[in-house]
Amino acid sequence: MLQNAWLIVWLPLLGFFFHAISGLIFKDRAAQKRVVAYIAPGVVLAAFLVTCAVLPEVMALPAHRATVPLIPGLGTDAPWIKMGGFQVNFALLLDPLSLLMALIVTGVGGLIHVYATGYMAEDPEQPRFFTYFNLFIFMMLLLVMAENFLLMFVGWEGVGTCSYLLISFWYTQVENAKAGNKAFIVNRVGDLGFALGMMAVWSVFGTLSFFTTDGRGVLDLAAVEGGARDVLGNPVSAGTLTLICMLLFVGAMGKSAQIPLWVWLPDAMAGPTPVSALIHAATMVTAGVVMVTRCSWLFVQAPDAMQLVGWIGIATAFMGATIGLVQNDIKRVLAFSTVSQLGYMFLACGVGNFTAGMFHVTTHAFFKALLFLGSGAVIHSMLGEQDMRRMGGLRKLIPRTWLMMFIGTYAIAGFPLLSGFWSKDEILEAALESPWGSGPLLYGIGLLTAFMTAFYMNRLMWKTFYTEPRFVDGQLVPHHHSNFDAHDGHEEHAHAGGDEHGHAHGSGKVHESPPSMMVPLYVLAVLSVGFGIVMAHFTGGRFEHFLEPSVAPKSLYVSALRHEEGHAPLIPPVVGFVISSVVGIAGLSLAALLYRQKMQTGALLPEAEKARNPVYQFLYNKWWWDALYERIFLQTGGWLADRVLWRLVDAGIVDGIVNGVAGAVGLMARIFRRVQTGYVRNYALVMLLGVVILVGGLLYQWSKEPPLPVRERPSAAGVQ
Amino acid sequence: MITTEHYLVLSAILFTVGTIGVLVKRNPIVIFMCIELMLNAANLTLVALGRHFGQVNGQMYVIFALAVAAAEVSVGLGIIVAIFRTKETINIDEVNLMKF
Repeated sequence: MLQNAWLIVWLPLLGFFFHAISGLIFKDRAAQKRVVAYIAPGVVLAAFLVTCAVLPEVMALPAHRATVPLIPGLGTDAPWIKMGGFQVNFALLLDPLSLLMALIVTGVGGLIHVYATGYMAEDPEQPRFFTYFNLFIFMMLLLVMAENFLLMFVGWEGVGTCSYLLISFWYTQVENAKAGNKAFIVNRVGDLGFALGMMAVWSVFGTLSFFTTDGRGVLDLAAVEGGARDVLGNPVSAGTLTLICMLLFVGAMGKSAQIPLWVWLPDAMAGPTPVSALIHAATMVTAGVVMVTRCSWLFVQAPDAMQLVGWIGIATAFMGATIGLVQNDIKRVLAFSTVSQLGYMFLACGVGNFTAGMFHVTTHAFFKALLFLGSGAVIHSMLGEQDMRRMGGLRKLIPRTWLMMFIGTYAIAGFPLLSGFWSKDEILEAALESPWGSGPLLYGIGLLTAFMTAFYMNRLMWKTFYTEPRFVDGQLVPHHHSNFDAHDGHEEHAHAGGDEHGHAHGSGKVHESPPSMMVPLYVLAVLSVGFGIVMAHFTGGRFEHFLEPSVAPKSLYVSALRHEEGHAPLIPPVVGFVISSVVGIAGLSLAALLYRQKMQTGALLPEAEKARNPVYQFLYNKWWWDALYERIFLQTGGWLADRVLWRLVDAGIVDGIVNGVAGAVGLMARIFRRVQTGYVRNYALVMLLGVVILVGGLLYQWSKEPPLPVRERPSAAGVQ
Repeated sequence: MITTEHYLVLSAILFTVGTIGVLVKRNPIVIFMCIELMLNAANLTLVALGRHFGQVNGQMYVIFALAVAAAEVSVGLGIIVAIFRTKETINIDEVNLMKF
């Protein structure tokens, strides 16, 4: 099976090709949609099964690592680019990290595909949706399983493209198209950092492969005993490594929505909810964490970069949580929650505990996908309504969806023994033991963030499920700001087949979602509850041991900082558990206590007061980040582009040179064309003058030189 | 006695006369005759210097130049006839279409 591991990435790619041409195969749109709805989840789940089959074989290898061909039939050194000594191969790296991510991408991705078959059933453009969705899975797998930086970069850009395509999937609404553009453009900034980092890696290590069989890969060289060695075997200075790591981290900032490049993620919620769940919560946004973890051998030797990662992480976690406290759109709350949780993951990486970061990536994939899909089910039930101010009382109307959201909320809030509790606690513990100091501060902010997380998640639950309904008699008016309205222009929409639960034009009753949407929720709910306790507790740190071959040991980092190892932890783990539990439960309880008193309105403050409250406005407007960027990049940049670059540089200087040269030539021509009189005798005169000047000059020249030796005239007298 | 210098001076005079004729005359036939003067001035120089150095090259060139001049005159006269047919004049200053 190991040699057939290429199937993992090829299956979604084949699915993509199939969906892309399915319009040519099927004349009947309904039949096309039915077939696509089976193929799309099918290929992803098949890829999941292949990954499951490959996993034990890789783990049975002594190094827990294998390089396999990407293109079947060719070797692992099938070159993509080959120039002199520089070679980039089409190959996949299978190790615990890449396989863990492949399992998440295909497993959670497969569940979300199944969910999407229900969610998108009525969309006339459903085949296009699944075309992008399968392409995304392919690109994401390429990203996490790539054998070298460049192939990873292909996946990196590919998922960015798919993200763009899916955010603006309902492109008839201009906000969606703008959100897609924003995501794409902000990511470009990060991608530039990644590209520069990659070039720096190449110039130092002379290769882009992570590991090679002869021990010349980037990470092989970085993991050399006694510090990283460059391609010639000389030690690499800490400054160089810091530069490389910071550039790579800029890429991670963009993809994983960290300060200052986080602004695109909340807007990305314009896409269909399965997209938010798959791309903007479970998989793509964790790519930055995966990349940092993949390069952990580089990062551990660059303490300054690690510190930057840690601070950016905790700052983003805190900021995301504060903004999440006041949002009214159910998906936006979850979006800020995602920003915040990603911050936690980077905090873990920054303090050198990469396995904790990856553990949180995994549990977060489960409970955040659960929450997003649950909120999608709520939105679906509410005919596209996303504003929590118009919800309420849904617990009785959609009890099964409520249960799923309830589990997700408690998991993310860190309720004891659920998944989020274990991973978050591990991160907080690691933060307290921060090898570069500031441990208690990081721990304190982390706890505060955890408290706010619990609060805003339960706030979401209360506003949506418990408080009095704020729509009349469970009757809904199809909502005019909803994304579903985007299809009103499509002629097929009214006649869409399989209209079992009719949302944009149904009965107007709140209803449970179809089984295709609920079953993935059940699976994710089980994982959200059980995964943490099984991996972290019952099997005694199984997860950590599993990832060990893929990440740099913490001891390496600590020794790079010249700290002594083995000091007693500041607080025993049990106390840490208790503190985390108390904080989580306190957050949940506070929200419950406050909202219990506002059952009618479901809001703590009346709208008028919100408008006056500067703190509320500060948080609601996302710390004015967007306003700041608007001012700096759009207004100042626009002014610069308009006044300076366009009017001054382009119209003034560039066009000035071009037009000036042309004008000067024209002017000269107007003057000198008078030379062409048409009189032949004039030309003859000019020629004569030319000859006279030429000959005169030559004579003058010769007159200054010694005369040529002239042969004497032989026997002149005889001729005479 | 007539030396090489005499021939060269005569040649210079002939050349100058020819040049002035080319520049001031409007009748192409006369211009042609002046060009012939210039050519023959050059020929005279060649012959004189060939004699001066006792070499046959100069005289050989002259024969060559005479042949070329004959060809040139025939072409030139053909052009003059063609101009006359189209413009009904051979005044060289009226043949001035190729100008700014």
